[in-house]
Amino acid sequence: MNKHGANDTVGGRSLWQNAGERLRRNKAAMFSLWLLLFFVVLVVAGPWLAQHDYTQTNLSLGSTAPSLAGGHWFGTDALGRDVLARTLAGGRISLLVGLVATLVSLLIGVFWGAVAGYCGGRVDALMMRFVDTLYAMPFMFFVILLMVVFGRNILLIFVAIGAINWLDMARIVRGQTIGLRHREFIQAATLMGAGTLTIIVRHVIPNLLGVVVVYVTLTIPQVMLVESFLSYLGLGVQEPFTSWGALVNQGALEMETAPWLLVFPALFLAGTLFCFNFIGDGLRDALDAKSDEDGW
Amino acid sequence: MSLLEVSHLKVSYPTRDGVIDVVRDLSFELDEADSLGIAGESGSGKSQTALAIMGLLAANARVSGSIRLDGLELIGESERGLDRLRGKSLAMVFQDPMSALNPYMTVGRQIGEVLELHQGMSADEAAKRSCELLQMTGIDEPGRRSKAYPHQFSGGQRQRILIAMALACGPRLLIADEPTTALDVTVQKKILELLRSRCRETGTALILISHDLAVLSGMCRNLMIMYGGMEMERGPSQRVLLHATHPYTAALLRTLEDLHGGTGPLSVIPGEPPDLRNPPGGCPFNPRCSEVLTHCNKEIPRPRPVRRIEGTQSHWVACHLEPEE
Amino acid sequence: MLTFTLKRLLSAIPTLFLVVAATFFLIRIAPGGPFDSERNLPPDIRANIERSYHLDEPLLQQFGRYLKGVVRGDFGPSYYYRDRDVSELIAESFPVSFTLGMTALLLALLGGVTAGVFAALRRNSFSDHAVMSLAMSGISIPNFVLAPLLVLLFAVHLQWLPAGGWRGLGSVVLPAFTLALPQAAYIARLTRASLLDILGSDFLRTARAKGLSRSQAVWRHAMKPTLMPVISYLGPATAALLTGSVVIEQIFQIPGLGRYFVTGALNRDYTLVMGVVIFYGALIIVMNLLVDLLYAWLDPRSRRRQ
Repeated sequence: MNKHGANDTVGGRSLWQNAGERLRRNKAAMFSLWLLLFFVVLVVAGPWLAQHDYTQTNLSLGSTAPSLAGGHWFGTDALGRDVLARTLAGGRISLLVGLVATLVSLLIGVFWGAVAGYCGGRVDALMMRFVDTLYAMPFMFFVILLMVVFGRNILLIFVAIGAINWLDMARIVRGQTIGLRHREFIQAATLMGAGTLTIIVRHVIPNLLGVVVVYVTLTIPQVMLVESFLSYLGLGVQEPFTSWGALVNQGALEMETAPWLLVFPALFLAGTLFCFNFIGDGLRDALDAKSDEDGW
Repeated sequence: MSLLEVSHLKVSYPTRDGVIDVVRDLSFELDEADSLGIAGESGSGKSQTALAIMGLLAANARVSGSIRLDGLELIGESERGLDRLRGKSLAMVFQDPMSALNPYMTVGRQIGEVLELHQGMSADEAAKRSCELLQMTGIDEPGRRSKAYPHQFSGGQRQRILIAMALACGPRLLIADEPTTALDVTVQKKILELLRSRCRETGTALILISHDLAVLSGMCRNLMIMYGGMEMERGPSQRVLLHATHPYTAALLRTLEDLHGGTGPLSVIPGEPPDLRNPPGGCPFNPRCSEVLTHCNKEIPRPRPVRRIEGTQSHWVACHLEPEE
Repeated sequence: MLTFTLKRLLSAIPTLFLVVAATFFLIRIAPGGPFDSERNLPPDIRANIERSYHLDEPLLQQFGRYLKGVVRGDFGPSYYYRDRDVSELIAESFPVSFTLGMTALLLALLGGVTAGVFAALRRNSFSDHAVMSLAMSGISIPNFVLAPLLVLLFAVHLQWLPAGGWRGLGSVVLPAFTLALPQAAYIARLTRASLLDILGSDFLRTARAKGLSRSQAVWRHAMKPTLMPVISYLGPATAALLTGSVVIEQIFQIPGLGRYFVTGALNRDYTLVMGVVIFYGALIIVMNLLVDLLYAWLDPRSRRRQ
């Protein structure tokens, strides 16, 4: 038992190793991680997996129920298109929007927050004033407006949805940056003569990584939700593209006669959102060094 | 019978890395209205001892041994029984006054709460008495100030409030865990004085915990030195300080002396506090002891009395070194 | 407190102005006009109509005219519902949305806080995990997925509640519940995290050291601090409810403002759309202000020294 004497140093574990271990212990998060990976692989490999092309119509096979033998594992829609193929294709769009829009909000938010937090003073006050002003705007309505006004352009969707979410990211990043700014190693770097930009890139940003990773994981489902929302209202991606939201919209209309049209895309959508949320939660708990021995 | 009798107290926590023993076989007594200082580095187990007496250890703590207050066994006592004792017979003041008060409640109400709870006072009676208590602990304009919120007081004032709250029902025992460590040096002395005088007024026994021997030397009649979860030396303060028997105590005193005078290099106790996951065999201090013997890391030394002098309480030491007679 | 209110009101004005301006110019810049969907409109009649709506004036002048109207509460005539004013339409449909929204907000608060406290006090137990998983579902399942399922169950199969429309008390239940669920779930998680945080704080330990039992300590000392972040969240919660109402009103065929908005957007009814956006924007700003005031009033640290 006492293999080490008092003079041996116990191997230190870095913050990331500790966090990784905690994450691995979180069964829900790990399960979600694997499930998500599974979804992603399915969706990306879709065209090679599905036996049918997702745009191919076959009116003679309109609205058939799922059957393994018939070759349409998820059934077909009213136009005879294979639901499995469409679900996977829709997944590609939904996930793509999720990733790209999150990237947009990440870039804007991290930049805004880091600069504001690091510069402090009037620059900070001004930049955050702007954020506060934007906070009260009913963004969703603006996005709907944009979609209606400029048409359903997929690039526009990326940018518009991304622009909704950067505010929170900016606030968080700013908070973290301010905390970091006063920490010793930043002061040490300044003393050593590193320039402002170098400090931001080399010291501030790696330390923000933890918070940012958690936030990104939690933003992706929000963004996907917004996109599916828009698609549901008929304002999302246009044919021939489809997304899970659009598929659910179509499916809901025929819920009673052809439930498979709703069920499969809904399962995939909800499941993916679930996974992201659980992973994000797990990451947040893993990176937050709070013990669970409080005597309660 | 003493007011407080602790015997063979053990506190441990099961963790991923194995069981950690934070208090290993501790025994001591305290008489009514007496005072005991517990000194030790962080990790020595002194705070855990205090929490064990109060029954406020974390939920996953494993406690064994015996803690008797006025003859009543505290270990194994029901939560409700302990609730009745806490605040009334047993009280504790913690280290950080800045966060120990509820920021959303007025100071008067927080003190009054103890009175309403244990002495059945009405809200008005409790409010009045709170003012009196505030006055007694040196808060001016208590009538007005009792309606203020914690953030409107300085650290020193908040500690006074906490002391007032702890002594409100005249408890039999007050434990103060590093009550001045978080305060300015100028304020520390005043708070310690307040603690001593108020305890004397209410006839409350005091256990004062600190890592700073200087703080303890003037305050407590008895002194216990802890290390690695065990007692090293214990006895009347004068005896322990003037006739330090344990090498650890002697080393601590040397570091104190150097701070207060001397021109040579500061003396330091070599080595580091023990890793509680893999504690050293035998005496926990043996890896750092300047007088270590060959069997020190094999056998745990049991406390034995140092030669008695008539009229004084016993002086105990846990060390294999034979005293030079 | 008064200066605080005034300051916040004043800082709300630029936001509102931004909302109005952004909406206005966005719509005007758009390709296509409000009357493009009208077929068979002879060009000179179209020009006449456009003139009567002042669409021939320079943009800035139109904006100035519009701004003056907004200040008076006049959002102009609807382009789609030709003989109705936008403010009329808003006045008519908003009470419906308000009822729905308020009910949902109350449900979300009550349900969410209760669930959060319940889960936090039983940390890491099965109940805790169960409640939090439910909460996670509430956040992950879009309301337009949940709504049809609930309608299928409660309206079609069980026939307990109406599937839509706005007649009688029963028709509030399903839409309010569906609308409230994601918010309730978020509030539950927020409350749980907040309470767990408070449970580890020093002043809770002091409360226990005073002899308060576990439940006494939680109720008397932990509840208020726990609810502060929830109160802060009321502002964003309102915004989220407004957003969600757009879809809910569609699904349940509720004659509220959200439904007018969607119809207006799809029909390019510019004035209606602008009016709704501005109205909702103002609503969110007011709600945020009220929440801030409430928070400041409850937090002793923000009051002036006595």
